Amino acid sequence: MTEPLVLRQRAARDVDDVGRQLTQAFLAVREAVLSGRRVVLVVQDRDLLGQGAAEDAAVANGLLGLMRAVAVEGTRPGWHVCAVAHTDPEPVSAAVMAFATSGAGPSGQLLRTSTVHLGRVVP
Amino acid sequence: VTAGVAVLTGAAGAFGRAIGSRLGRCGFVLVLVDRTPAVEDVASTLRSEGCAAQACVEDLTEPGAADRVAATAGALRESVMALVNNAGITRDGRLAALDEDAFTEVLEVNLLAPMRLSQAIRPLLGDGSAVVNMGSRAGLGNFGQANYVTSKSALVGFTRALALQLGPRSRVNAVAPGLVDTPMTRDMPADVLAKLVSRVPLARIGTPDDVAAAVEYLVTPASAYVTGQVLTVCGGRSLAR
Repeated sequence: MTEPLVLRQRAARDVDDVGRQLTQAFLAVREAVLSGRRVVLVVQDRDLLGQGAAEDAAVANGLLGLMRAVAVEGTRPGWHVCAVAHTDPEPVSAAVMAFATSGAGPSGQLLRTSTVHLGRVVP
Repeated sequence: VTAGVAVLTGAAGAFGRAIGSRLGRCGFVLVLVDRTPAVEDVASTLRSEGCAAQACVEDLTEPGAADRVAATAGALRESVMALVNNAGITRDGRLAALDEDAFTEVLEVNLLAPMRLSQAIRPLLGDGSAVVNMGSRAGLGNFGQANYVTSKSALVGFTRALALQLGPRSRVNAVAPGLVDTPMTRDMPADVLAKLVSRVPLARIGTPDDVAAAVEYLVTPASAYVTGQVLTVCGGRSLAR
């Protein structure tokens, strides 16, 4: 079994960096799923809600969209992509990452490990 | 007395024409932006209907274009009361066939250009102004559109963050159209289009004016207490099986 690709959102320096980060993610995710690797995208929950910099919100939500689009398309056995949302400085729990990378759950899911979304929009 | 300046991108397309017409009738002074010279005809038509409109031929993916559009709007010596980031493109393909150029081209037009233009226009926005970004129902996930879905989902994130940054002076929202009657959908095989329409709970394809009406709502005082939201205009398709 090949190792899953775990790709973490990083802080975007500017608008150009938003483009670079999403393009690099697309290329990495495409290569991974086409070669049978599972994919986990790790994003900041507060950026999904837009609570930080606009550039970071674009990256986080772009990665979420990429994950969903790839999941919609995936029909091959083993084609598994999901996202984990957490909020720094809390680390993603080992149990959640183990589940996300195992491919056990359905593809195309957003797993949340923080509570910042409660009472707010759920992206 | 006008409603202020409205900057509208993608003004020569199907959505842009419908939005321009509605905003012109609302009394906005329109700066109609498009990369095709056809936008000159759109402006001319609107002027003949009594609207204040000027064309601005710019490709917003080019360096400096956002600043040039802002300068054009600023020269009108009225506050910008509406910015509608409407321009968008598709370059569809299954993941295996989707190359880097197709990904970045869509990202540049649908996401990075609106981000840059919003930054450039920001100092010109008046008190009570509104920004509307054109998202898509497909931003929730769609087959063969990894580039488009990424760009539209990212644009929603940008919308939320900008809403938190620009309040209380300005409101920022997004419209997310579903299946709409445009030249692109008219090119679809009839059976494919019929199948798509059959999945729409309201049992019809949308019109550009359906989308324009949502934009009008979001840039006028009717939505004075609405910001950071996505108004999905899809006939209920985002809920249906």
